[in-house]
Amino acid sequence: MNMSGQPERNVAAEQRFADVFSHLGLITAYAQRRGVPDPDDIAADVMTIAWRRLTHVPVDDPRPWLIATARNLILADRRKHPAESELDAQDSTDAIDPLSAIAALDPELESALRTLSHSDREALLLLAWEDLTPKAAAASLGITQAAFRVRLHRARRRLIGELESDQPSRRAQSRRAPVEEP
Amino acid sequence: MSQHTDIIGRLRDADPARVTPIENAALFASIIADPADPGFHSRRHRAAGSLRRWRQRHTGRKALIAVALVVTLSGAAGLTTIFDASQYQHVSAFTLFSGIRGDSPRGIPGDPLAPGHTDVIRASVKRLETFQIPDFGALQYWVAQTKSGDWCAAFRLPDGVWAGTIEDPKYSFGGIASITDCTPPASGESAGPHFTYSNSSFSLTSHSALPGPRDWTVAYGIVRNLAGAARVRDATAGVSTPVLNGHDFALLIPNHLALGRDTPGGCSCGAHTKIWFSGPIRLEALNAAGHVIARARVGP
Repeated sequence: MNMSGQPERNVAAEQRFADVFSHLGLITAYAQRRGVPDPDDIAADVMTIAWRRLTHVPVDDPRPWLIATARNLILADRRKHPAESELDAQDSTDAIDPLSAIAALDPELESALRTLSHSDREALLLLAWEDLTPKAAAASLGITQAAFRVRLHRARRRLIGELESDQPSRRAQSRRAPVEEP
Repeated sequence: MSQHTDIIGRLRDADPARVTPIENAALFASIIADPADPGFHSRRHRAAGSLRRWRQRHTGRKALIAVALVVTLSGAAGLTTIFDASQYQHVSAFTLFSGIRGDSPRGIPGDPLAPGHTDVIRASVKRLETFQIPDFGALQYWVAQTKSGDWCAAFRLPDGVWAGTIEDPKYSFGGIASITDCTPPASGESAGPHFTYSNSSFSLTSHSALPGPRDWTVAYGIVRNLAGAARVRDATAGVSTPVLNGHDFALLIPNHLALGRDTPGGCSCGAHTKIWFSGPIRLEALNAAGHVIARARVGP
């Protein structure tokens, strides 16, 4: 504490945190892609946690840690706040389904993604959307690289299978109307 | 293999969000106003082992929040919390409540030099109500609880700014910065059922030229030790609201329905707001059958 009653600044920590904070856009986009109604809030909370646990954030690549934290917050919110969702009828359905708020997704692709397990889907999307390397994605999911490769291979195979299969039942499950041919 | 590569490409093409750099200096400043990870040292910050992390967690936090004074109005609740308002305009509700400082270690309510950090229970942070006020917009009501049992309340204005974080009548409702507040249980509270308020209530004026209500009072608080309370009603205006979350309520009262109560004082705080210097607000707690089971009076 200095003479003015204010805390002494930890400049090194602030510089270090600035590097972490530069990924705010990534975390906001991650939350948005997972259908969070208020992605800015999640991103702000992730950064707050990162500041308080700065020694835990990897120096070389903080993205896996940040994404894992965001994922935990999103899942925790969905587990712990069903009552909050019920207060807003418009949000109640969307808050439960991780993909429901993604409006711009190709309906066929969305339908196929929905058939995957959460862990398989997350493995695919971490590569495709968050642009993580397999090593970083494995770190984000807390699994080994070998396990991640197995999961990724399985997810790809299943997604391709779903897209190639011509199952009317799956297509009927799609919530959106098919795009009309011009 | 090419199929596998293609599927990733197809997913990338369908990406519903693009990553763009976000410059948010206010958020950055608000975060670093809190103490950093106590284990982070300026000269060496290698990866910490579990033992060191354990020690860090159990070391008292000595870095303290920088504080900027904002105007507050001491309310009936007795404790007025003060926080570095300007850095909290757009933060999340959790960050906002966490930044509110609790009791002064020197025992002085509202002590401007009081350091602190509010240990908000994350799962308790909730948006309980959104009032759609004509020509004003959506006014959100948020609540939270702290580990020490304090009750926190805040309002978010239509433009996303938290009430009380800007020293402007539009954002502070006439200077009541402590409208964002965490309040401990009152002494003797366990003695019986009653209402608890945070600075009683505030009033706002929408700038509608249309006929209809323009002045509103928002009365908000909690109902403690009152089993069976289902609704809270303003006895003068007759409007009521359900008790949410087990004990919270926020009631929007059109002032024209509360004629006879309003005796405006000398404050003219601007086109958008005014302070309600009126007579008492009389609230009633109703059970599910609609019977009054408790009464509360706020104000003179």
